[in-house]
Amino acid sequence: MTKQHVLTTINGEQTEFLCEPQQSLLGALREDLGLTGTKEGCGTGDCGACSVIVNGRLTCACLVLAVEADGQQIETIEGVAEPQALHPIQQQFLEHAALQCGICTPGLIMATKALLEKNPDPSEHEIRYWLSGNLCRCTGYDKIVRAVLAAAAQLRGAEA
Amino acid sequence: MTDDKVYRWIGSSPVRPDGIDKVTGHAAFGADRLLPGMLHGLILRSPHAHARILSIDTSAADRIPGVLAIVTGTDFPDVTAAMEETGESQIDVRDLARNVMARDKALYHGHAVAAVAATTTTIAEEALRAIKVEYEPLPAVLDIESAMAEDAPLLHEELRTKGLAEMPARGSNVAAVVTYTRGDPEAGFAASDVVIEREFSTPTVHQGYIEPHAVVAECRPDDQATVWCCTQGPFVVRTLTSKVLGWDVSSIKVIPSEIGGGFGGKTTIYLEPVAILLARKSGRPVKMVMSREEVFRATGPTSASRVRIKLGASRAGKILAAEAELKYEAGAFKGSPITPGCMCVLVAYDIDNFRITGYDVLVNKPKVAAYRAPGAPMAAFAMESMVDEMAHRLGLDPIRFRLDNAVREGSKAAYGPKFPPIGLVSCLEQAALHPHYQAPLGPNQGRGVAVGFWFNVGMQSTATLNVQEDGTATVVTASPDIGGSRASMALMAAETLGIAYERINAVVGDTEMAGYCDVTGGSRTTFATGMAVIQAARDVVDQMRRRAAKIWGIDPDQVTWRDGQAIPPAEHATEQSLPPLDFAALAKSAAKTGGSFVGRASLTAQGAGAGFGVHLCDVQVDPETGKVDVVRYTAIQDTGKAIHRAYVEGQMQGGAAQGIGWALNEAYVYDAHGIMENPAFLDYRMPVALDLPLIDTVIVEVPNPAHPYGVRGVGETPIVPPLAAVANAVFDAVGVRYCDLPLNPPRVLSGLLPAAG
Amino acid sequence: MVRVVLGNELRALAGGADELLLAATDTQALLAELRRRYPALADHVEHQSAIAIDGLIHQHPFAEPLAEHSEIHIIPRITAG
Repeated sequence: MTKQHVLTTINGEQTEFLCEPQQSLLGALREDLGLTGTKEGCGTGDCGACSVIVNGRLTCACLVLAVEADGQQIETIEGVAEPQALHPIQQQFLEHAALQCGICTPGLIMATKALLEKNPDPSEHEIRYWLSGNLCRCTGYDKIVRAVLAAAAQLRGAEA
Repeated sequence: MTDDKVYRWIGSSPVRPDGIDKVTGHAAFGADRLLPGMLHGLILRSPHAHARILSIDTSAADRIPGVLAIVTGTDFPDVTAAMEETGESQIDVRDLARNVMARDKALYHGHAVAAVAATTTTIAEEALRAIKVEYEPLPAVLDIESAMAEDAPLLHEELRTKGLAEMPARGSNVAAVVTYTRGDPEAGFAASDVVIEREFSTPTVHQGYIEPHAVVAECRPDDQATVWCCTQGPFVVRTLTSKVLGWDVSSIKVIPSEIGGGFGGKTTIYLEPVAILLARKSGRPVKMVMSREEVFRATGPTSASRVRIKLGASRAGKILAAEAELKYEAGAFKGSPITPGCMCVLVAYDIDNFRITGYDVLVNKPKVAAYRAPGAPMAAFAMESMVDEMAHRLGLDPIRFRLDNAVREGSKAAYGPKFPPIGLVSCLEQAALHPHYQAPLGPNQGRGVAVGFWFNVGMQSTATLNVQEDGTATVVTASPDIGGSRASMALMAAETLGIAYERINAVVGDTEMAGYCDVTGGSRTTFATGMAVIQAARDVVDQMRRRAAKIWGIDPDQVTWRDGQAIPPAEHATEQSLPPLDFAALAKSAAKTGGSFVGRASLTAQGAGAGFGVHLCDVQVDPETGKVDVVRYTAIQDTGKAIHRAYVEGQMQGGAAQGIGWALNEAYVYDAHGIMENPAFLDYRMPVALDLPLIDTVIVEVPNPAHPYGVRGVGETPIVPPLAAVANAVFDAVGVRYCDLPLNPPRVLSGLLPAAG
Repeated sequence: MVRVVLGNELRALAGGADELLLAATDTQALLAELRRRYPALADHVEHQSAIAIDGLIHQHPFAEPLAEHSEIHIIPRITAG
């Protein structure tokens, strides 16, 4: 099968790769580009472990074809932290013990980032609604919700 | 009773040592390993729930370019020895080998039949389609009732029921019968003022870890294999894989990756021996990652159950007699958690007369695997529903009724021995006093209470503590960190050494670099591996005291260790020449004073402390749709000493959430042919963030006398109470006693309709 | 003498007795004594059982000390979840 050429931007960096036409963006990120921070939990868009941000929009990378990434802006977990500092969302996840095994954490951080960019002051209910596409089996979500509330407050404070 | 010792580090909630890797995407999980030349392995699975395998023709698949290895059952040695001791317990290796790869019969839909390794996943998929398997479909048994029927088709013709007075002549799908009796149940029922009896059922449910099973195997020409995999126990993977392949354990090295949840489901093996054989045949590294569908169809789950309970009590509120009959599905091979189920079913109550009977029942479904407090939640669902009903019948407050019958220190556990100090009464008292229990309920709302129990376990653990020349220390164990245990290990080491938590790193080693540890499971890691870490730290303290004595030229017994310092005896301390030597100073000078410090400890931990918990649950039931919403939830538990408070709370909240899922929505849905119809997270409906409220926690700390800091273990107990806590709350809300899970909208609505009409 | 209390499921392995009084100062000696008198029960204990000594569960006892009047219960090993 002839491979397709894709030219895209990942975490602000122009990136080229070759992929099979049926390959998912998730497969390309993980297998071809070595960006394994984005996880696969189901491959059917149900668990959110593969959440990435495509042109500002929260997306399951397993539901997007790699060829569709052509010309798009893609953000993954690898691009969230600054070289010398964690993003406030990452910091609050750690301080609130909002992860146990940590497999869902990259997806939840991307989902939280997308949420707070849209709604900097979400209620608990809005957080739960927005994060309902991201399954976590370890925490019961309690500490995740608290971490997101704290991150939102911190980011609002930082902007004020 | 609580622990009032003052600790510097224990009981705090610092950021975990592996935290940054986990929030930046750098932590490498099972599927994250990429090696040059790596092949992709896939498994061909049985399309029948029960079938004889007549032939397997792989020749067409073999000819596909890019296919580099194919294995079937005939590539595995014929394991004849049945029961073998492994690190943890006896396990039937023959069954295990046949679950990893079917031989003459496929015993469930999804049973592995063949495997291929190819240069791409696409080619591997094509190869699977090209393998021709000739099956003779056999009638399948898909539930307890049909499996136990007189003329039921047999999964294993040679299987004879264990636990009967005489060895039966005929085969059966009942692998074992277990019984426990005490006193005279008939007399107890005769003396009772109220006797109630009901039967309960729970469906097959899955552990639901978000990370599918994954493995990368390499095999050198001299048959030395390296396996990278997500597991709860690298040494157990090594043992089990070696048994299935008939290899020495020393020819297999297992490197545990980060693990994305397990809950018991990653205490066994599925892919590891297959990947090794594919790597051996192809001479290339082979990666195998299960799809979510495969995880549902061929791993885990835990038993579907039927539990009948008869309970007798006096008008004054004392339980006088109980009878419990438990039937648990084992799946296609024997070994449901029926024994712990029977040991747990009545365990919270002091009852003089009882009879417990349990059946381990084979059905054509995947072999069950351990799932968080294996066997206890289903038993507690039945018993705690009945206790609730009895309290209701007697007009007693459900917590008061439980307190009047609760086991306490010195009570005889239903499984035999007398309890050492336990916290059930404390937990019930905390529940009664909690603002949640007093809060008013709204319309269509109800409140439920339920108790849960788990034994917790000890088993083998080893720890090494390497002191670095900059005054830091690294703790090495082979206990995979599934919920923050590296932080707990570092906290206990910091407390014991008397140095700052931040000076300690904790890592998870592989089977060559770390000493033997049993699985992370059974709520044992903080207890047992923690005990090894404490001993290893004490070993370092001892070495440092002796080193300081040598430096000072005094007797080691004269040196005390306090707050991270070797302190000379009073008469020397006053002299200028002998100031205390702290950890960092001793570490820095180690090279010149006799070499670096390495602490070590290896032990079989004894005296695991039983953990009781009490959950309070408020639900709101929509009378139009039957949808049940959990609107408030409080988990109270005797955890023994809580080492990392936030992760202890996290275990309690996570266990509660899994139990709520089990109560409300989760279930394997099978068609008439034994094919699971909902093998995806969309249809196998685990709780999402919107389904749950904040989960309040109350940590009760009755110290376990067998652990230096009083640890009991946390993780298992909190999944036990929610099933009945939710069902009891639904009863309180709508007056209907639901005995069959899950309490999804159709089920709840069907119970409401007759009442409405 | 220590007292070994047998549940109904184990009594057949000890000639129907529900309790055994044995002289042993640790669990290794206890097992040896069981092996001498009730080999089938000793096998069961060695390969499948945990032992509760005065209520404290020992999953894999080796030479655990026993007190003068210790009460011993033989219970199934609990597996990890």
